[in-house]
Amino acid sequence: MTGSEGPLEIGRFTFTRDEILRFARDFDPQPFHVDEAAAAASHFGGLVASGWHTVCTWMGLFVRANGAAAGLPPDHPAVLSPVGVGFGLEVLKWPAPVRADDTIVFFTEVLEARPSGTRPGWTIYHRRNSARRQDGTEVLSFELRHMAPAPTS
Amino acid sequence: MPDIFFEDFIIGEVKTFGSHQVSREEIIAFAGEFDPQPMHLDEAAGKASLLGGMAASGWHSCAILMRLICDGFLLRTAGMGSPGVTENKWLAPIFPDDVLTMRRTVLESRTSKSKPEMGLVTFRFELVKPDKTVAMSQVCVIMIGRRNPGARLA
Repeated sequence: MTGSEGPLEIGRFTFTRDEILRFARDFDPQPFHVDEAAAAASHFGGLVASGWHTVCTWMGLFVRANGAAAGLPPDHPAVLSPVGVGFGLEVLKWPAPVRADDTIVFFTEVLEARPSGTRPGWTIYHRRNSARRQDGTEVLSFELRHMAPAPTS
Repeated sequence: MPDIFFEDFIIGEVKTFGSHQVSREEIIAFAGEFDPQPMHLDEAAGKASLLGGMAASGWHSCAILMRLICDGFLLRTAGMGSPGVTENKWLAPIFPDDVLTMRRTVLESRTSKSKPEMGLVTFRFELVKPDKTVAMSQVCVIMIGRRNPGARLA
């Protein structure tokens, strides 16, 4: 089984000033992520979101877009871990910054999907994921390899 | 003001920075927002999952690594952001109370022709547990301001 039906939208998120500051103060307090005056004086010319904030937001939307089918027992892998475990990511790029009040649209695309050779009922996925501003400018892309419970329907 | 510049990163140098003890509460708080799979939120679900116990989201590990990079050296460095990450591998689950340090290896360093005020440094960053297990390994490029912008290097 191989992909692909092209990029599928998984959700949208508006990066408010407060959201950008909250994430960056916890995880990435570089001046252009946490200090508006320093950001204005930097080569970015204003406050920008941590690249990891964009990536983590992608994951939050991806998980919420892939809930388990109803009626499964609580210890079913599709309930415990609907999108499973990741092996790693490659060629992650942040080609343009995300600024306060940008609404970002998030996508996923299956490049390849194949049954796990060692774990029956699991599928190994290779995806290309991305995010764009509403004007189409890409702000994030990366390839992800992960193993998820095979579709139950 | 930064006191570490592009010229200060020597290819092959390996250094270890900081430490962070991961709490159950932060695992749950992060996962609730960014990776709400039960294996990251609930002890029983974690135990029944492939992870073998309630473990941090791999994306949480990336965020913890970023914080260790910031506190270790980047906030003192003339950092200008990152164009991206070449690869990131999740090698072992991170459980509540695990203590993580960050190991940094300088892999590559090059000046920019189009932007003489900066250079690009490629690092390998690893999250290491006290028993030396590497939980995560990342290769990342960071743009760093030059002490002597535009100076010609042999």
